[in-house]
Amino acid sequence: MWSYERRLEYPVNIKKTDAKAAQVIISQYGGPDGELSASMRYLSQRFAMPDRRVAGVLTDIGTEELAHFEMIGAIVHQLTRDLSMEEIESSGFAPYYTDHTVGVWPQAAGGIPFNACEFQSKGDAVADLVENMAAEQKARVTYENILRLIDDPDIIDPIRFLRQREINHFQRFGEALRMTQDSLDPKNFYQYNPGFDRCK
Amino acid sequence: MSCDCQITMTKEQCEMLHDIDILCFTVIDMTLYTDTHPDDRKALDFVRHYQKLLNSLRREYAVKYGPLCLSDVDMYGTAWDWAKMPLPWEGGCA
Repeated sequence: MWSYERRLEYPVNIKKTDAKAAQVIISQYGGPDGELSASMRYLSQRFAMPDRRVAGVLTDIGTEELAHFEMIGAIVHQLTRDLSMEEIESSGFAPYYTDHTVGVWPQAAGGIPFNACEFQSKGDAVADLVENMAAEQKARVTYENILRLIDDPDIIDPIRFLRQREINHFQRFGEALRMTQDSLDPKNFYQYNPGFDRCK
Repeated sequence: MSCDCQITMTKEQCEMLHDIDILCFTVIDMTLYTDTHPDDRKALDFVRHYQKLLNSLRREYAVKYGPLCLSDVDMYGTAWDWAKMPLPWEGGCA
């Protein structure tokens, strides 16, 4: 179970609205390599993990991703809450505005809705952990692409924090993969489904 | 859009919240480290030390400005202040 803390993991205080920035940053809310995908991926994969310690890593990182999901929501909200109709029309925000006004909805930068097919829960520890390492790298690249498109320091600051977390999480998943591999049956040289086959 | 019911945060409150952010982040990041290094005594002592500091500061904050967590609701006032606390995405601190 979870409990809520009425606070962001890292502060978001954006003073200037910017619909163009909101439209690219929203990809980290509901896009393919976004925080919602990350959280659902890790929290779902936990159940089939043969190593309790690795399930713990997935729980703690999956929980932190929920806090990042909230931070991205806060960024998008602060970038759009005071938009004028003129800004909405001139910034290309009108299609989003038509369906969601200035509500925050999980979609990719290109408008594609959030979809669980953006992540896997394969029930195979090695397959899942390798996906997670790739996911952290892809999210880092997305944040770097966003940073190249933004020049407001109020936006750059929390985005840089989130980018750095991808690097830390990548490191921990690498260690989790090593822990899994170290506890495998040495006869299972190619590491086929260590969680499932163990029970046969 | 805003309404009269919104409480603006004072500079002192923002500073204390910022200290909570720092302590909590230290605990979050070190917890991930201890998840994969459960036998590192030095790291465990480090986490415990900062967790203690965080818990006491969080309680101090709850007494002064209102609860951040439901578990601290009994620390402040007599009314249901949990519902009146600023929402984290409002961005009250500069």
